[in-house]
Amino acid sequence: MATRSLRASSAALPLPVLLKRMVLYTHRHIQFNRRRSLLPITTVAAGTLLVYVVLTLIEVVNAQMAQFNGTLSPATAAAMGRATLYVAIICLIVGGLETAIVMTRSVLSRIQEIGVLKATGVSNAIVVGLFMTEAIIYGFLGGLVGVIVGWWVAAIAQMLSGMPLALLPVWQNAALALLLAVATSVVAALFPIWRTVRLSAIQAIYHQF
Amino acid sequence: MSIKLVKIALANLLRHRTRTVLSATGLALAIATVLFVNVIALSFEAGVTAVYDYIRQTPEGIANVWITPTGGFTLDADTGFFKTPAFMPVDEIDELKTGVDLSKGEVVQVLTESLPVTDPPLVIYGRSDQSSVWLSPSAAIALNAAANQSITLENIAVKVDRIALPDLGAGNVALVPLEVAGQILKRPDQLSWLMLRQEGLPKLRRDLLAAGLSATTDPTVTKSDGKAIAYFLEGRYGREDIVSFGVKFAALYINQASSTLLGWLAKITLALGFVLMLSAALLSIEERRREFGIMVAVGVSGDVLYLFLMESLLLFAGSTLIGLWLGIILLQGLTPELLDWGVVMKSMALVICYIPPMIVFGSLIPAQMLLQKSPVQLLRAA
Repeated sequence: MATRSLRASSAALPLPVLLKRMVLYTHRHIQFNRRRSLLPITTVAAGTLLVYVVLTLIEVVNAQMAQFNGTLSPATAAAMGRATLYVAIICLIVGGLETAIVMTRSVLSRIQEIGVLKATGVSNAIVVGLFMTEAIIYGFLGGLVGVIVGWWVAAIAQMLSGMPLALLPVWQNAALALLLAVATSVVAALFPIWRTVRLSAIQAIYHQF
Repeated sequence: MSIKLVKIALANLLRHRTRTVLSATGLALAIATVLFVNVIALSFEAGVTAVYDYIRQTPEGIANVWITPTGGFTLDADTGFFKTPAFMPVDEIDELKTGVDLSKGEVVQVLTESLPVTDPPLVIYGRSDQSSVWLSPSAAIALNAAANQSITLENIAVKVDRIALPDLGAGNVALVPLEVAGQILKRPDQLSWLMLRQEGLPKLRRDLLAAGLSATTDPTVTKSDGKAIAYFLEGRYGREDIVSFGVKFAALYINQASSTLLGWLAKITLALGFVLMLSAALLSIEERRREFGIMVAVGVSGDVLYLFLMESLLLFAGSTLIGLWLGIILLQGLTPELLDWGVVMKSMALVICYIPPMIVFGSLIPAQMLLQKSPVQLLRAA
């Protein structure tokens, strides 16, 4: 039903209606493939959690390391200071990359579906729009779960390490982590979709991932 | 049979190159991150006890008894080096030698104290087995000294022979002969501690107790009745001694380090790495539902499981290798100072422990579950 409603003279449809139908299509897709959708969301959540926890804790980690300055040589202490910064940067990059990989896989494994959509007359713009909607939904849901779980994880880790819980810039980091999750999902999905929609319907249907 | 299986699995992986590359990248990135974060957290822990390993060295091995004056030893927060709150006169040692047989091994006499001539303070570390003056690189910079040049410490001219000391807990260290340390520190005929490497420890312990010393394996014991304390660094004595000095010492300092936020961050990364890897593995099964459906429909379900397991094994092994390599490259490039191979090996072992649970939870169980479904179910869902 959703496919039919997208196909029917989609160019003439007003944008809000089109958007509503795209969301409906994605909703149906997630509904029918619950297990399959759960995995990208989990990966995005894990990536976001990593990003959020590192963003939130890195300052406190540095403050706590400073307490050990007496037992570490100045050279080691300086190296540790730099190392914690690298930990933060690498966690950010890896969190983003894992999200990107899972979104790419999610698009590539559905190339045949794109072929079917194209064969039934759905325009390229709408196919791109559909997968973008999906990427935004995955990114947002995964990011939300990651931030909520990450808040608890960060708080518990801080409690266990005996650092005071006060003054966490939680909202800024949460917003940043969520934004990063959605943006990475969209950017990562864009490239494989762009490559796929340029194939003909037949090529897409016969394409094997 | 198994070689054929490997060949088919390899061919299958190569046929779906994009899919293989994406799964392997996902797995490898998770492994590299876990390795990187863990090595950093562990090196921090190792750095905290490096001094302990350093001071135990004797010319021919590692000391097994450490005798300090009453008050025990502490780690100086300013220098990161050990210090004793009190000093013992050399006479006391001579007295000790009459009652205790110290001929079965080595005895190293140590006098150490810090001088506020640099920042952090310069540790003068005098040892009876040292014949020349060595400076640590940071001390040489702070004192503006070079090898084969003389420097003046507390009005005593000292010729620096080498600038070569390992970078350990303390930054500014001058390793000097015992007599030179006595002159610089204005403590002639005084000692901070004795390091013994002796054979026949039970007899030595009895002798030391008879001479009136306290003998213990507990680093937190710092009080004795006036006389010195002998810490037995190896082995256990008596029923109450459950763990050795080294373990207790490590517990005292390392636990402090591993329960820091960095330690917890490493544990969080360890768990998240597993979640990321597991979801990457499960995704590669979900992507192949259709393939499984066709295989089951033509009746080759048993072999499919073996084939799939072999593929997963190859994929996991390959990505683990790439991930470990990537992690080491990152460590080498970003923090070469912290690259201690012992620590890296420990972290690598930790990461390799991931593989068996990954195979069970990431491929064996889910693949078995899929194969129990009817081909119609599998093909429809795909």
